[in-house]
Amino acid sequence: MSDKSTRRQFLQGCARAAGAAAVGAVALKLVKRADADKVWQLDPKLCSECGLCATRCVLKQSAVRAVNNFDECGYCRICPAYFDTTSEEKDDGTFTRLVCPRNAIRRKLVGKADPADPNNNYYEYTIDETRCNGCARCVERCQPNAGNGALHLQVRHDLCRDCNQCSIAAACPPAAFYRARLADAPAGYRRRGAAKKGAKA
Amino acid sequence: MARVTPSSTPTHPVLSPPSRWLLAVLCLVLVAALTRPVRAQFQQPTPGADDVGGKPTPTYPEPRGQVLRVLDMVLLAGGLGLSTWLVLKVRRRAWLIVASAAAVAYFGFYRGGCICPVGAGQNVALSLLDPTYTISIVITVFFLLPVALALFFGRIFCGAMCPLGALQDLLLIHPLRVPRWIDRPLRIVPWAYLLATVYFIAGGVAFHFAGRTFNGTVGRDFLICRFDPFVDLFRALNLRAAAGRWHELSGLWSGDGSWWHRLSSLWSGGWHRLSSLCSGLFEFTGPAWFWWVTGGLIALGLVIGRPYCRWLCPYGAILGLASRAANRSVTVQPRGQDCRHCGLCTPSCPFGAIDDCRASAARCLACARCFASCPMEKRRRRAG
Repeated sequence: MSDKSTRRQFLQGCARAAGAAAVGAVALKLVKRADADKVWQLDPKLCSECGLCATRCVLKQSAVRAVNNFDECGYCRICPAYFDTTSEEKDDGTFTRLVCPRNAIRRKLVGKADPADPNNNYYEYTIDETRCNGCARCVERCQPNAGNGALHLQVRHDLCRDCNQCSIAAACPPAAFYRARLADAPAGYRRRGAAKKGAKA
Repeated sequence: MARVTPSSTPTHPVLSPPSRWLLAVLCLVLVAALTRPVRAQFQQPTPGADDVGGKPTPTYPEPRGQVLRVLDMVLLAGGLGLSTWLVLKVRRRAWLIVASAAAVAYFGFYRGGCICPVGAGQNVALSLLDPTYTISIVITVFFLLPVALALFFGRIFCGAMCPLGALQDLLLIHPLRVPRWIDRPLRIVPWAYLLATVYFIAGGVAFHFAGRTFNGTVGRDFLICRFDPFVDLFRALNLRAAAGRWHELSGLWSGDGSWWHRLSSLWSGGWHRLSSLCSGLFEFTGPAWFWWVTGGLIALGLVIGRPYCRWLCPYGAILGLASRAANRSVTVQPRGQDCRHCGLCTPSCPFGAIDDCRASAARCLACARCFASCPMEKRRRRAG
């Protein structure tokens, strides 16, 4: 009995040592090339404005929001991302329908108003983040040739649950959604057409 | 270029009448096609900051701080240490229930089921297979710490610290004994699940190395996360969102004037605000069909001990294997005392993990239920 138990204990000890060695080897290998914590980020340069961010997030209201980069925004009176320019035109040149299905864009007259030519007036467009769900319809219409490309999608890290497998990333057609280090985050914030920055006429 | 004036009227029309119509229609189509993009040309140069009275800066909220991520690791290590002490030294289930509830509250509902050691194995496997996929030390520790502990003390992690296991254990109200002929074949499923998980991760890496570029994450599928039956439940109670709306709750007691005023305003308007706050607390997300899986497993778990841990969990398979080497795993009788083979402990285990009065290290989930049934343990408790 005691002989059997010592043999058993010996085998167990060997297995334990092997297991500990395996755990140690994995730990050593992974800790050596360990990286700072990465978070799910959306690369606006790759984004195709497909709208899946709004529907695929595990949160009811997606953690992705549209963000206006005011340095790029034209402050246009008729913003193609605000007004649905395919809808009926009003007398004052604005349009009857808005682009945002959740009415999340706020439009405000800023700067000195020019009564002679209203198109000279500047309007500030801000996103109401309690309403925005990142459907990207405004982002799509702000793309260059129509707009300046100031609107872009971003993951709101305070809302993101940081799932191990992001369901948006799994669905994203251009693979614009990936884990990146926070230190690398500013690269992710660069929008499409950022090369035009400073091209002020 | 000199302007050419027609010297004579052409005797034959250049285009036949049907072609002319076609040309006209084509022109109309072209005009119609062109007007929309032209109308959409609203692009303006961005004005200076002075023109618009100062530009706001877009905000980019920071993620959960590094300190808090390390706190997760510290809490897991502390929780595991505490569970080991409670199971092997204190040997009382009551305290383990408290630890289970804490684990469900923190790792489950507060952290939303992510990060968890069960899923962390996938990150570790992918990182081992694909050197470009780097993971943080926190994830590595989350996967390895319970395994290292199992090498010495058995599946202590399963006992209370695993939010999935603890949730099922807290909901186990009337355990029924599962016949051996059902239990034994089902115990193979975790290994099959583990193999499938590694296959889906490795398959993704193979695609990755083959230069397939259609989508970096397709193929690198994390099966355990995708089919985690309780994560939708953990996400449903959004404690983080509730914490963000805490000020609304404190606003319920605001208002000026006397206590009586405050109390009456709370009575009149407070209930409405409180109910809106509560409705914001619950968010039923995820695919609807998956709630049937969650509900089914929970319903099953009311009468059958931990169905997920015993017959599905791939991490449990790894921990079970590691536990076979454990030298200080759970013993029903107090450690160092001889078993009297009375057989009272066998039916006390809701997971069928006691064979011939010995707790099987591979299957024991360290729930501390069996201790109370052991006469030797009763004697120990009376003595100390």
